[in-house]
Amino acid sequence: MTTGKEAFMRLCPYPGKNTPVIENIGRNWRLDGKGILLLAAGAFLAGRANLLDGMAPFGPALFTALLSEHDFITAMVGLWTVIGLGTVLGFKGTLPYAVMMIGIALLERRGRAPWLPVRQAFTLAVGILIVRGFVTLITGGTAYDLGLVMFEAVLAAVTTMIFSHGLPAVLGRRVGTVLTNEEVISLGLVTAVALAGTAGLPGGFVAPAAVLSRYLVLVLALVGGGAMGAAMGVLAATVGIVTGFSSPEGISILGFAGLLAGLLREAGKPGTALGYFLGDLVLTLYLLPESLALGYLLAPLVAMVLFWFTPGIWLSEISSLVPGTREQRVRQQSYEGRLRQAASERLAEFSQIFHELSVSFKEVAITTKTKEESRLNTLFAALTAKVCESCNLYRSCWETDFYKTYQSIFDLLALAEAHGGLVKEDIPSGIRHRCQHLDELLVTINYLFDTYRINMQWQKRLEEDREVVSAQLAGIAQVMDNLATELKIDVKALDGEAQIIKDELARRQIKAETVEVWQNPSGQPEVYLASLDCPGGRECVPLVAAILSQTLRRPMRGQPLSCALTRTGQECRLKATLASSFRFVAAGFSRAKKDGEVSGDSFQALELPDGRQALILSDGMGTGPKAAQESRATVRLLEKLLAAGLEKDLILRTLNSILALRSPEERFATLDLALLDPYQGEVEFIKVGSCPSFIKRGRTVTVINPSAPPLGILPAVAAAVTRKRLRAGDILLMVSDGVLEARGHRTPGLDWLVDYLSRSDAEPEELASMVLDLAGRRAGGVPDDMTALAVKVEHA
Amino acid sequence: MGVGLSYRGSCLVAALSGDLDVATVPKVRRHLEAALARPGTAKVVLDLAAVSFMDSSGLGLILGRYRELSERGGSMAISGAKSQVQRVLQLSGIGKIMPVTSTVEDAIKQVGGES
Repeated sequence: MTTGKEAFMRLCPYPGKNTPVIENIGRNWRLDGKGILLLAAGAFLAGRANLLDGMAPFGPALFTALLSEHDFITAMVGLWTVIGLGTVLGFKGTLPYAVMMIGIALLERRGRAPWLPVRQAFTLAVGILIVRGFVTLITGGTAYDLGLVMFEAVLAAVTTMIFSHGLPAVLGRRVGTVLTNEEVISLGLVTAVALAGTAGLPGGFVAPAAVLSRYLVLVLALVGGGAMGAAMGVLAATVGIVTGFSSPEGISILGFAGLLAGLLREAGKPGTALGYFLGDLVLTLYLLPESLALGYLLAPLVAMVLFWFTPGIWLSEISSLVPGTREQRVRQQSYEGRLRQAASERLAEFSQIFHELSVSFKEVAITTKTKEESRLNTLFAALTAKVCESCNLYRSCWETDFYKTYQSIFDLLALAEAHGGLVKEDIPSGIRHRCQHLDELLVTINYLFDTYRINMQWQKRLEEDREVVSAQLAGIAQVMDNLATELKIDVKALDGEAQIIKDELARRQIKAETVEVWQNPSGQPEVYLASLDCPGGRECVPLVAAILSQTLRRPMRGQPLSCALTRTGQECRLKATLASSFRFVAAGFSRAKKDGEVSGDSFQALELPDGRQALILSDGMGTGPKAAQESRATVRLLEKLLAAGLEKDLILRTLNSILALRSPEERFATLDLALLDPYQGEVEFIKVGSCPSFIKRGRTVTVINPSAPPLGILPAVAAAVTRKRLRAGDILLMVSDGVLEARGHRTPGLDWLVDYLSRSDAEPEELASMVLDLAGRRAGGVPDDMTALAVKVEHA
Repeated sequence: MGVGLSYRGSCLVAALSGDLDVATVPKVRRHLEAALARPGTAKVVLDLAAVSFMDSSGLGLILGRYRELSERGGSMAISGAKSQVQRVLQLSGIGKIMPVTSTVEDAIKQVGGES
C-alpha cells in the first residue's frame, strides 16, 4: 500500500555481467615434486610387479591408463615402468613390453571420447596378445603358454580400467573427499600392485616387501579399526603369496595381527603397535615356530619404527579417505547438517503460513452463538406476544379455545415456511372469521418470517465458513504430513556432480573442504562450498563460478556467504546458483483517489525460492482504508504462500476462502500476478478479476486480456493464466482498473494506452508515472485509486 | 438511481438505471434483496441498459446476488450493458460464471425463462 505518489522498488537482482569463462580446464594434473616422486615410484613398482615369473601386465596397464595425460607424465611413467620391468625381467623379457608400450602410445595417445579408457584397455589387451603371443610362438611355447598370454591380456585390460578409475584418488585429485566404494576397491588394487612390486627388492638384511606389508597393516588398523586392519593383513599376505615373499600362513598371521592392532587403536600409535606385535608374535610362534628367529622379527620391528615416525597429518588425511572412520563421519555430518537445515527452512516457511492464517481468523469476530431451539416455537412465542396479548379476545382464543387457536396458528406458520411468506388468501377460513386483527397478524407473520429466514441464511453461511476453515486446516495439515516425502523430492543432493566439481577445483589448486550440490524444487542446481583454500580475495568467486559453469554445463553465479580474508577466524563459504539470462528492472506508482488518503491498491515484488520474480498487484474494492486493508491482506498472504513454494491452484483456493471469511459482506479483491522467469525469459500472468496487462516489443503492443471473477466472494475460484515468451528490451505494464476508468470519456477502452505505449520510449519509472498522468488527464482527475507497474526485460 | 422490477413469467427482470457505485449500491441492494426474497424467485435478469456507470461495488452487488441465487439453485443473467459498464463486466471475468447478453429477451432465454 502506498500513499500519494510513491516509487516502490527497483529489481536489479543480478548486478554486473556474467563472470568470464576460464579456458582450458582440461584433464591435466598439476603435480608438485611429491606427486611426481610418488608417480615415478608407482610406475617402477607396477613395472616390477609380476606373476608366475614373467607375466608383468601391471606396469603397461598403468602406462596405458595415463596415456592421455601431459607428455611429461606419460614419458616419465613409461620410463620408470620399463626400468621396473627391466629389474625383474632382464633385457630380453622387457623388450617385448617396451615395444608394445611404444606402439600403444602412438595409437592411443590422444582423444577425449568418454569411451577412451575402454578403448585404451582393449588396445593394450590386443597388444599383449600380438607381441607376447609372437614371442611365445617363436620361442617354442606350448598351448599352456599361449593360454597364459590370453589370461595376461585380460588381466591387463581389467587393470587398466581400474587404474583409470582409481588413480585420481591416489594422486591427490580428491584430497579431502570421501571416497566411493569403487574408489576404495581401486585404491586397494593399486596398493596391492605397489606391494607386489616391492617383492624381491634388495633390502640388505630385511625385505622391503615384508616391511611395507606390515607397515600398511599398522596404518590401516590405526585409521580404520580392526576390520580394516584385518582386511589389509589378508590383502598384503595374499599379494605376498602370489609374488613369493610370504607363506600361506602369512594370511592368518597378518590378518590376526591387523585385527588386534585395530582393536587397540583407541590407545593411539602405541596401542596399535602393541596389538600388532602381539598378534604377529603369537601366531608366528604357533604356526611357523621354525622360522622364528631374530631375523624374522626385523621386518615387523622396522615397520613399527616407520609407523611410529609417520606424521599425524598423513594419517588423518588417509583417515578421511577411509569409510567408517571418525574423520569421515565428521564430513558426513556436516553434509547431513545441511540437509537438516534445508528441512528446517521449509518448516519455518510452513509455520509462517499457519501464523498468517491465525491472524486472519482472529480478525473475524464470530460473536453470535446460535442455540439449537425449536424453530417454529420461537416464532410462535414472538407472534402471540406481538399480536394477541393486547387483543380483547385473548382470553377467548388462548384460554377457552386454546387448542384450536394453537393448531391454527401453527398451521399458518408451517404454511408461511413452505411458501416463504403469506398472502391473505392463504389464511384458513376458521381464523379469518375469528380473528379481529387479521391484517396485523399477516404483517407480523411475514415480518417475523423474513427475520427468521435471514437468520437461517446467516447460520448456514457461518456453518459453511466453518467447513471451509476446517477443510483448509486439514489440507495444510496434510501438506505438513507429506513434508518428509516432499523434502526428498524437493531438495535432492547431487553427489556425482559434487565430486566432479571437487576434482575440478582441486586441479585448479582450489581446495574445498565441502562441496554440496542440491537440486531445488524447480530442478535447478545450487552449489554450496565451504572452507575454500583459494588464491585470495574475492577473485575466487568468478573463478569458482566459471569452473561450476563448465562442470554443470549451465551458467552459474557465485555469491560469497563469508570470507576468511575479510574477517579472521571466519570460515570461507560460497553459494552458487544458476545465473539468469535476464534481469528485470521494475518501477511502480500508485495514486489515491482522494489526496492524502491511502490508495486501495497494493503491490509488491519478491523473489521466489526458485529464482523467479513475482510482481503482485491487488485492487481492494472501493477506495480508502478498508479497500487498502483488503488488498494488503491479499498481497501479504500471497507473498507468504508464494515464498513457501506452494502450488498455484492451492494458493488461489486458500486466498479465496480466507478473503471470503474475512469480510462477510460483498467485498472482494482482485489479483494480478506476473511471474517472471529470469532463466528462460518467460512470463506467466495470473489474473483474477484484474485488468489487462500489456507487453510492448518495439512498436508492437500485445494486450493480455483474459480474466476471471475476483477473489473472496464466490465459493470456487478459476484463474485466467497466460504465458508469454519475453525478449530483452520488452516492457511489461500492469495497471489497476482506476487507470482504465474514464467516466463519460468519448473514447473508452484501451486504445489510448496501447497507442501511448507503442510510441513511448520511456524507462519503467517514467513510463509508470506517465501512464498515471495520462489516465488522470483523460478522466479529468483521479476517478479511482490508480496503480501502474512497469517492468523492463534486460540481458543479465 | 432507480430499480424497476417486473416479471416475465417466472423470471424476475430488474432494470437498473443511473450510476451504480458506492453511493447507490446499498439502496439497490435493499430493493433487489426484497425482490429476491419473494417465494419462488429463482430466475433473475439484471437489465443494465440504463446504467451509465458502474464501479467495483456495483460488481460486488451483482456477484453477491449471484452467489445468493446459485446457493438456492437459481440462475442469473445480465443484459444490455453499455460501454463503461460492459468493460467493467468484461474485465471482471463475470462472463465466465453467468450469461451476459445484449437484450433482455436473450437473457431471459439464457436463464431458462419464457419470454
